Amino acid sequence: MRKVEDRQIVILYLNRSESAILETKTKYGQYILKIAMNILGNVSDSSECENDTYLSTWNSIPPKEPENLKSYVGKISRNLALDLYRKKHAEKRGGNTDVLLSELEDCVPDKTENFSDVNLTELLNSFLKDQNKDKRVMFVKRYWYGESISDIAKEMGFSESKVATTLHRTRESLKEYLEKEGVSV
Amino acid sequence: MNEELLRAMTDIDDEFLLEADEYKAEAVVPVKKRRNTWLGIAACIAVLVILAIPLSKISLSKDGNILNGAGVNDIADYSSNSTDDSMFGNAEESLGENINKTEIPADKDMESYSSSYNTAVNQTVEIDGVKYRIECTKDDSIEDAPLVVTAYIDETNEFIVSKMYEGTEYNLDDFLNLLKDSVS
Repeated sequence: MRKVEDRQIVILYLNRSESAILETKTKYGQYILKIAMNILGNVSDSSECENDTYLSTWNSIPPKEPENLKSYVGKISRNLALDLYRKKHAEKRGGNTDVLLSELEDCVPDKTENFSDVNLTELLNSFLKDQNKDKRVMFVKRYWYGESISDIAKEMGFSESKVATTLHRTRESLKEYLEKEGVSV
Repeated sequence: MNEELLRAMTDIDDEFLLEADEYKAEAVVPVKKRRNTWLGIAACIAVLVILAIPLSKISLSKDGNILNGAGVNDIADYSSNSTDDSMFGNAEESLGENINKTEIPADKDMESYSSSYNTAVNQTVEIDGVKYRIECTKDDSIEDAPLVVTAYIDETNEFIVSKMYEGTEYNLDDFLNLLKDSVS
């Protein structure tokens, strides 16, 4: 299928051409849907999230002018999926995202305060930069893309137990790192 | 707090996202691509063999004339050239039947055709003289991923309509009706 360059698509948004949405759907529709599916776990919610992603992208470009459209729409989709997840699961628990959240409890220091004052994203960037490539990719696949351990193992050519063990160690390292950076008192 | 951490991850550097997303392409996909290529070739040969018999037997009558050996596109041309509305309706119906019987593996297991982010099956149909390309995609890296069926104008790649189906099969008649409604 014909693929249009990201920059051309961004220009379509800047020119308020509605074909920008179609081109985004053609090029990144599956990517957006996959991110939403991994968080929400069902087709109708993910489809709603995909459509909201196009709308949000349309509303935000301009003034924004992303250099990397793929990660830009991916981040929008992830945020919207997390919002929708929170809304739909305020009382009901279960599913992939709950598993991710419970795994991430390992990373939260025992005593935390002023968590919101800390720029967590910067700390995460710094932490990830210090990891070797395999560990970093595994961590991002699991906690950004929400992929299952078995899928990560298949994609990276490792056993599931190796992936699970590496992720566990990385979570422990992140916890130590956050404590060292003063996230806990 | 852990949800805050999960949310804070959203804005990590783009380079980490792309690195993780493209890792598969660097390390594993070439093997999968090769496997899919052979599967694709095998599927094409099988489809050609299956098509050889029914296509030669297709016939459609108009005023008592029998069209032997007409292909799907021939039938579509025939329908679009007709000025008789009722005949057009019949021909369209025949078009749907013939596609069902011969070209689109609508009721077949799509997993053998699909691969992550790739178009699985292409099919062209003609309505009112315009060729539409129907594409089916399914991301097999996601468990229970939907089968996404999309129609484009073949010549211009203009998006017309898309619909998601759960599982690995889709209803061809349902999708053709949707397409006809969208273009009428």
